[in-house]
Amino acid sequence: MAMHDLGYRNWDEEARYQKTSWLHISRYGARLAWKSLWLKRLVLFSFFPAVFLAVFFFLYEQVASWPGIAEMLVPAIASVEGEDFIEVASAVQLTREEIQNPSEIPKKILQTYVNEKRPVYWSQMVYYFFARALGLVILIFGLISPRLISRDVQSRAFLLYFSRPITPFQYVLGKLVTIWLFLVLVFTLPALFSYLLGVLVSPSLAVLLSTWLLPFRILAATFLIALPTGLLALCLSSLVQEARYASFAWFAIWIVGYASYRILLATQISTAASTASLTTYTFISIYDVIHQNLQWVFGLVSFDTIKWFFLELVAISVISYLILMRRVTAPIRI
Amino acid sequence: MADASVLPPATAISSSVIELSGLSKNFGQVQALRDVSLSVPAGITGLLGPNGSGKSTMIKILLGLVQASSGHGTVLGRDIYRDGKAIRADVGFMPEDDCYISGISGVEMVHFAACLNGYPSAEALRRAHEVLDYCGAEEERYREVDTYSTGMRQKLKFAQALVHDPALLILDEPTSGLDPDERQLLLKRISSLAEKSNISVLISTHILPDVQQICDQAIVIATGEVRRADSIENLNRPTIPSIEIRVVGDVAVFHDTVLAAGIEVMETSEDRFVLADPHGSLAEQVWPLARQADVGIRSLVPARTSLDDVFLQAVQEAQVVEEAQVVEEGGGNDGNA
Repeated sequence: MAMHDLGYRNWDEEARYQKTSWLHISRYGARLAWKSLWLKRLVLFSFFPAVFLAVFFFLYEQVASWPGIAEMLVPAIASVEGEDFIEVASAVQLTREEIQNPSEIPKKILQTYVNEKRPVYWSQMVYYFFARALGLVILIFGLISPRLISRDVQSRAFLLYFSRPITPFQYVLGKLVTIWLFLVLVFTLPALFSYLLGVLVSPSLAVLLSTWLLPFRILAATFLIALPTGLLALCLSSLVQEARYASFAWFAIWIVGYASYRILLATQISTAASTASLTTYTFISIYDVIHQNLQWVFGLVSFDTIKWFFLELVAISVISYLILMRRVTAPIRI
Repeated sequence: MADASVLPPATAISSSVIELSGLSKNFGQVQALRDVSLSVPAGITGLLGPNGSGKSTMIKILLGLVQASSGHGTVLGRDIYRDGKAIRADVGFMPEDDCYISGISGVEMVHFAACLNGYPSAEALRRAHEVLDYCGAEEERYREVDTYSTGMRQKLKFAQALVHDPALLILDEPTSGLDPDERQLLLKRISSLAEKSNISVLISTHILPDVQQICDQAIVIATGEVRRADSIENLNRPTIPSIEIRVVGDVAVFHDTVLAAGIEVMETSEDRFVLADPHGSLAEQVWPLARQADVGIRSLVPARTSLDDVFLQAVQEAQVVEEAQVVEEGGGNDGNA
């Protein structure tokens, strides 16, 4: 007993944050997950793609200002891009000084080309960043998510949650935000930071006018990945009491899908089937389905091209959510 | 779901903390609760019943976690169907199961529980320490809960139920797994919460001496039906007024003498007799009878029915009724066939 035992004292504090109390589920979930040394290593490692992205932005924006580079690059780009480049180059308006000093002309052409193509190249680079980082996200989710719900079922902690003014939806939301926090940490924040860096190292802040859509594309891409993968991961966690089974199922879904798709693709190519039918196999691999959707988000393909892949992600999200809610409420219904 | 903040204060609405009327709950073919009607006043109430009698289902319905199949009910004046969230904001629940959040310390778990109720984090932490002090958790509060003993986990569950200063505490087997000293301390704490802090308590337990010691009233549930619901004093009172006497001397002779005097012997064991006293005048008659049988009277007190007897009687009644129903249904089916 405490030295100066005052007995029980009533508490007149107001419960001001009932609507956002589920955030504490995320907070404690993230704290527990962060205890894993492997997770710390992976998060650290996941920043490397962002470094490459930042380096690209820097090089792209500075390339036109480096002496001697323009003379070397302009013919190279012209030979690769052909008419497209000639169209851009012919639209360059030269000043009197530039005409008097022809050595500046390649530089001017390159700068115009850089300005013209900025939205496309930046989007493409961020897409590549997301595409490369997706593998890391799968690993990170595989470390965090299997324990999130199975642990609560195993230690019967759900009674502690649901005897509070928390609804099953808020519980699921709290758990989802736990994994989304890490997604934002390894995906969104580095991408946004690299974008900001790109803007800062560009010749003028006018680049904002041509690239303002990119931060929104980054957020959309995050959401596109976060929702289906997060719900699928939690769904698997809710199906078992032993986290290792959920981990196994999580990695199996990605690896088996990825490998099967490539095997079928190789078989099709070797039998010289039409390429149109190849895309049907993409449905097997969630990894490739997400890639297809990312291409649309970053404006590289039209929605018509990927609409079935988009629907697949919607279906994964809806089915996972329904199973998840049923599993989460099961222990309290019995 | 109603927001707790827009509802009137719980205690201002009704003097009964729990009101149930015709409440039933079916799980498929199984009827877990049948037409339960009761009114639980403020104070400490024991909820008794054998395993599978429907206690847990009733608690889940009270917390708004499970919807009843039919009937009405309020907890702290709030509707069990509509205001589940508001009820849970005002009720502290200590589950029977060994439940904890693996990987966090005791104080973090209590803090977490307060935060889930919507309290500011810093205030919740201060309160968590205060409640853990009250529950007698000392330095071990900083250890991970996975390493706790059963007794310590019980303390922790009690603390998390109490952390938001609830108006009603629902405790499911609160003393199971505690050593006698800890058990007594916990019972004292529960008593003092009801007496000094105006917190009503509903204790679901199998340990009848606990109920006898601290409860003001008790409810006995068996096969999903309320079999007894009264104050402990009334439950202890025998159905037929009687006295309990202990004698020294020839017990058999005294027994014969009493029977010869036309007095009903309700119970006898060794030197103890329970004699029916419907008119309240038996005490005066016993002394001459004792002299006549040449025995001495060691003690003479009004007879009391123990809670164990009340419980067993209620359960047996329920079993008889259930068996009769089964026979009736069987007969009905045969008839139909």
